[in-house]
Amino acid sequence: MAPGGIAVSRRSWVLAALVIAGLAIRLALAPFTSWSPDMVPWLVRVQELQHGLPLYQHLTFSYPPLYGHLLALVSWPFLSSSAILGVSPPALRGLSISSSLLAGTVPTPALTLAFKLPSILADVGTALAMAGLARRLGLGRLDNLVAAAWLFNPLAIFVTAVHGQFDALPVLATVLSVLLVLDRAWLFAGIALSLGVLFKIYPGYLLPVLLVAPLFARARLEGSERGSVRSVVIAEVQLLAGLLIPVLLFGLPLAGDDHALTAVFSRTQTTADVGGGLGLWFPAVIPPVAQVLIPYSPLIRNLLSLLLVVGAAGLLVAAWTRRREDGWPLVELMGGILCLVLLTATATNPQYVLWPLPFLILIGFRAAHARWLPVLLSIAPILFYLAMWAGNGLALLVPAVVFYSWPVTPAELAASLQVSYFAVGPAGLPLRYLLMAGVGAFTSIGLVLASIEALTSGGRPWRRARSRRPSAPIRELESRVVESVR
Amino acid sequence: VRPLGAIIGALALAIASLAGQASTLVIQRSFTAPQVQVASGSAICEIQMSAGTRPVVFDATAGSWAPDRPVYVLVDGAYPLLGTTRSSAKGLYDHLHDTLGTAGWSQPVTEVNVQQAGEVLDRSSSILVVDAGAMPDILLGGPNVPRLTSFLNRGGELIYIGDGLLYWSSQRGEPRITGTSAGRLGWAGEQALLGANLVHSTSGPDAPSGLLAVTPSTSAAWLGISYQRAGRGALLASLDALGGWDLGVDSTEPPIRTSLAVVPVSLGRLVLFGSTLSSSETQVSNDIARVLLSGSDVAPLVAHLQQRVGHQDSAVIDLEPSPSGTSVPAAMRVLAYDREGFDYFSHTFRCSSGASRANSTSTASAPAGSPAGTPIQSPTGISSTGRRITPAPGGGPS
Repeated sequence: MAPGGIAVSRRSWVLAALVIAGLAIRLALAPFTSWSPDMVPWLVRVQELQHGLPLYQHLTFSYPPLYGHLLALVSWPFLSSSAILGVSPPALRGLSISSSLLAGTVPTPALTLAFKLPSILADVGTALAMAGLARRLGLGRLDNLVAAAWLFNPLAIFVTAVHGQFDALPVLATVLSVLLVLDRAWLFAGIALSLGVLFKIYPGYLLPVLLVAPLFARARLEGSERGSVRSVVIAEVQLLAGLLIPVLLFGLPLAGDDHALTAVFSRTQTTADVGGGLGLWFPAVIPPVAQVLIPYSPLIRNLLSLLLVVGAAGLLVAAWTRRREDGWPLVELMGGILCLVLLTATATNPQYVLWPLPFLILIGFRAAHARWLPVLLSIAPILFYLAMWAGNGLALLVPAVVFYSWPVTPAELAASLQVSYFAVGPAGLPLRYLLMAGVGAFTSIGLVLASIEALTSGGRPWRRARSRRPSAPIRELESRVVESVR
Repeated sequence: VRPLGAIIGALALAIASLAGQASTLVIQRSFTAPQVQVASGSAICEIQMSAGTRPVVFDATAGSWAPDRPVYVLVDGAYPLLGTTRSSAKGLYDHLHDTLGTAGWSQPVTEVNVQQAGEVLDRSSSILVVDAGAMPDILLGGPNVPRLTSFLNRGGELIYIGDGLLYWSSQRGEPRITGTSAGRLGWAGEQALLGANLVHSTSGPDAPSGLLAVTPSTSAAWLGISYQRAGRGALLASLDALGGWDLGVDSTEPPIRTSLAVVPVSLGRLVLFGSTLSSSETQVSNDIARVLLSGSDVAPLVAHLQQRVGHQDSAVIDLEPSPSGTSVPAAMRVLAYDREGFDYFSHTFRCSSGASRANSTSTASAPAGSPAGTPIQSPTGISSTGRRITPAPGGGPS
């Protein structure tokens, strides 16, 4: 075999080993952990399926349809059996009524794993797509490291394997979409982004970027390579066709369903007096601060909307002015816009930080000074979930506790969480609110800096990083992995 | 060839989604929901209950018949909320609209703003649901709450979910409700409406607002009421004195409060939840639906029965007067529902005695996705000989 062939083979072995390890971690965690309130809608949907009910009939599923369909696929083995789908431990009942942070009904570990399976596979797909992106962008030999940065990313593991949310699926769709744009496979780029929107609505924010991508592609080429305006029109038509195909396939069957519109749009619309979460609304998680902010809420919301529009426009303009430079600004655009969305959203849940993370990781691989941003944004959202229970991690082990009484019994869990829930911090405020606001502040700072990095770095050469070879310890690690796999 | 991997990735995602969609469709066709059919029989009313793919534990209650009435749910972003969020306040409407609509409630469920709610109060005897935690001042009509009083006197029904009955009032554009809010009525609010205290304890300190009740009353057990907050719930002693009845879960420490109560007011009724909505819109809307569908807002329930029906099996229940001759309403409202976590299955029927019952046949199944209206074959299984739902002595639960 030629030396090049050996190198490719060796890198493939490494990648395979990384994928297996990433999968193993997720599969080991998935059955025994969860953010229990977010399991309930999936459980109810399975119960509905047992009675043959349509997806949106009773407003229990409030997302676009695709994850609901995947739930039908993975839960099929559980439908016809008489097996128990979940239990409602009496020990958790009181606290689950007091607090919306704990569910009174807990799905079985097998069903919990089934809920998470599509997202686990999506994580693998995202890692492979990110490796492909790294190669396209000229990061060359760093592709396996880029894949590893996703496979072993704490937030990616947490959201998919612990929490049980399905953000990994639209994340995969957006990363694939970028990769396909870089390859000028416009039809499939449209299909990928459209699929993403049909999982969660947020990839819709990237639609303007996708629609101007053919213009960027043409502007980067010189002379006869640039082709005619006609080629741009054809690319746009292909993009639009790609966007439309999934909408027709999955949206058309729901066209006359009023319940679907109510479930997806009415209930998810922003109607809160004040925001909260990890964006710029972070101080509002402290109730007295929220009370002070209520009169200014409309003004703040308008200002944040303006910031989003101006920031996104700024990113587009900055990218356009540097379109002829060596780097392709698409990754910065996608990452930057998603950071702005998170900063300005009324409710930025921790799992949402997953959305820009693949792009921020890639930017971090190019620019050493920006490397700490994805690190911060991979850890802070997890701390936010822990902060909601004043740092008590037992809240994430509910399935293990309920079904195996490990590491504590359900009664001990309830007692422990009760103490955490009512723990008081400085100034007599509930400790959990103070911790949440603190984590929110750090996350917001990270998102602001990531937006600025995206704004200023678009067009910088990616290829500079290609010349870098992995450091000696990494080369040694690669060799060991290859040997162990063989 | 270069983008092949990414194209395969996008196609894999699309194919998985298509496979999921196909699974949804196949499951919807091959799994069936429970069905209930009511028909005139030898007794007052015969209910045939049929499980779908899964076994079901049916609950059936019987109460006094009152015609379905339009339901209006107040949702107005210009007024501040107390103890809940905008999304929950709107969510209660969404869920109630869905649940009542699919359960056989023949009248519309409509979202109204404060101005429209005022028109409802002035012109109709319908049902108004206020889940904002505080009552908008315009709807009160003044310190003596004349607008609400005339609505109830005319036969209207107010379903109130808040922090104390009319304790707090809200004003348009007011950013938040505070202890110094101008229009706050305090405990004088319930005095003005009812002429007596219902929630306020005159003999001791009031309960903490977060008080959780744990002992279901008979009606709560019959209806599967899930709301357990009782810190601002009706005191049972006051409820009795006002001629009301307990539909909720009761607290254990005296003075005992209930999480859900009905108080007749002239021709109308007040249905009072024991505290604010919080984020429990699904549970509260489900409880409201069961109260309305069972007729327990009009009069106490008279009978209840629980029946397990096996996989694709049927059971028959006869409703008839008890042997002791307890008076049974000439027209009854019968609610059949499934309490095992399936808040989507509930249906209400009118059952009539005497000649009027002859045309009372109707069928209900879970709305879509099941073969709606499929005739039930000869019932077999658990209760093929029929089981009787017998009105409780004295006409209802205590």
